[in-house]
Amino acid sequence: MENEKKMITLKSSDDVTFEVEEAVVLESQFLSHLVQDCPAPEHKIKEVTGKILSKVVEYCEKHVVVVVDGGDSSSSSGDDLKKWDDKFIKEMDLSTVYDLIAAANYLNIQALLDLMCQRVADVITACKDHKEIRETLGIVSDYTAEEEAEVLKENEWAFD
Amino acid sequence: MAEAERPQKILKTVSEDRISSLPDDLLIRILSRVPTKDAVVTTTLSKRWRFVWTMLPILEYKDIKNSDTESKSVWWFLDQSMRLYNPAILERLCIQLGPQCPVDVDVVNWVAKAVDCHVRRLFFQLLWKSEPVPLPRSLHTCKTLKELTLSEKIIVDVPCPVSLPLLETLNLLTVVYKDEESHVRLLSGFTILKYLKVVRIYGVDDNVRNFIVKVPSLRSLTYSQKYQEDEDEDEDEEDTDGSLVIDTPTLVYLEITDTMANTCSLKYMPSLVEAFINFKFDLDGNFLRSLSSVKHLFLVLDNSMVPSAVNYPRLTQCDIVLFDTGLCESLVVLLSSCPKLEIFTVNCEPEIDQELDRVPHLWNQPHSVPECLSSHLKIFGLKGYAGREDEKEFTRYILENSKCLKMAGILPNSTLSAEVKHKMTEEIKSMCKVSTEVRLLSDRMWYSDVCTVTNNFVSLTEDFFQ
Repeated sequence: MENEKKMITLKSSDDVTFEVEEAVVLESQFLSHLVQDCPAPEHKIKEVTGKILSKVVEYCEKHVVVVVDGGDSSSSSGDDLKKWDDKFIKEMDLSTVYDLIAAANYLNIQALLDLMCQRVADVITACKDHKEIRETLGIVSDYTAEEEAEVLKENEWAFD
Repeated sequence: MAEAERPQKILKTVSEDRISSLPDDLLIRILSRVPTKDAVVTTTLSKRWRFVWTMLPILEYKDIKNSDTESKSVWWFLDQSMRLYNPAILERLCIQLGPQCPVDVDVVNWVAKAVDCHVRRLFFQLLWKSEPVPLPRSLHTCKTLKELTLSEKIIVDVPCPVSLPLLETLNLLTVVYKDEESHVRLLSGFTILKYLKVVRIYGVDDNVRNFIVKVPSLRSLTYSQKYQEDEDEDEDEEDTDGSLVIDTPTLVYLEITDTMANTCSLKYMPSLVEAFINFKFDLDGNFLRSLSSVKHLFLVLDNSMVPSAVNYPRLTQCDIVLFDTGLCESLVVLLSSCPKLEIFTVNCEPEIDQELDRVPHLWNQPHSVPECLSSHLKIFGLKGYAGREDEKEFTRYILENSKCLKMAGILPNSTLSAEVKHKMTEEIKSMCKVSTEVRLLSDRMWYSDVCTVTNNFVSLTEDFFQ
């Protein structure tokens, strides 16, 4: 339909470049302001590495396509998108998830941020007790034994 | 749990604690997606996590299991922790307390705290063994409240005018009222209330005789007077002298289940789309006229009430539950008053099975064929069909006179043999004058084939709420 789509180049902190359509960039509140305020063809994003930016671009490209094509069959494409999201985060390690949380927060991409937070929430929910959460998330307790006993007692209700 | 399986694979690969260095708002965002109980567990992880949960916008405390175990229940935790709680936004607080909650716990204070935290949605269910408690006055003037559900041992005591300017949804589920004025004062304190649900229990005196719903902004009303679950319906069938008054000029959806009230008065509702009416008392002309703008009508027809001649010019779907096939004649009167009817279903309730061999009620066919039969009716559904003479005559009348019927779905009475059912279907097929698909339905198919059409109307109603 439209023969000329405006392309924008994004450059990561380690100088990996991504050429994307403007519509993809608009998924990010931060980038859409940047593009509006400063109409340069290339934008450097110092806070995000090439590895993470490629994931961000992949996510935004997928989501922008669905919105455009959506039309009347929005419910089935919504299901497809959900499946795609599930697959997207399925193989991802927590380290990448944290990087994406930071990136999505910085670039202000609410849906991606929600997806990543949900992923961490699922990890926490799947643990059977606080010890497993600590182990899984690598948290080291700085409570003394007395303090920990006190906190446990206060929150006894939550521990079946 | 499907989600729970996913993270297992990566457990071993992570050792670095990066999550604790996330800012509060991101930790809150994560913990908001965790059940409240698991979020509270995180207090014990480390000092960083000690108070994160106190900032969560959504909290759900559910403790309704009926056990007298020694373990500390949620009330204890709430009592200790509500004072620490300090969220930027309290989007939703849900508290369910069971019978093990001690009667000296200050539950009222928690609600006051929620109001102080600018709560938007509050769900409070109290099932303790003590008397119903009044909630704090500050709740009646909460400027942020959008949704309020009060359930069980709560007394609605409203001595002063109420001002809940943002309240859209109110559910009053088997609560009691201090006096008649309290419920009237409560229901007149809204400017934009759209959804109201009231459940009352028959035989329990909630201090209201005449229940009055006078809310100009209301779009959806569900009112139900029900029996206590463990009570036998047949015993103690004395009538109360209560009444129900509904004055809601912008209502779109109306559902009333009340087999006890003596009278019900409705004011005309020009925007009404869907009405579900299950009454025992006589429906008078005024009552039915108030519903005359309805598009989808669900009516339980008792032998004591017969729809009088009221016109339903917009009615396209009508579902009838019939307790007496002697009312078939009235159904034809009803059909005559719905010129645009496209879907018509009749559910003969099993209670009439016992009277299979009684003398059929003979009915007179009307002089002229109802307009909906000759020009609009597309789907006719009949559930519990047992082949009684009056049923048969009624079915024959509809099938013979329907000029654009596409589908007739018949779900025979479940006690009949397969052979009889088959014979019945053949007989019904022979009644059709136009090419109509006659389907012998099972219970499941009744709901999927005939009743899915009903769901389309639900979405139709939803459009009105936008």
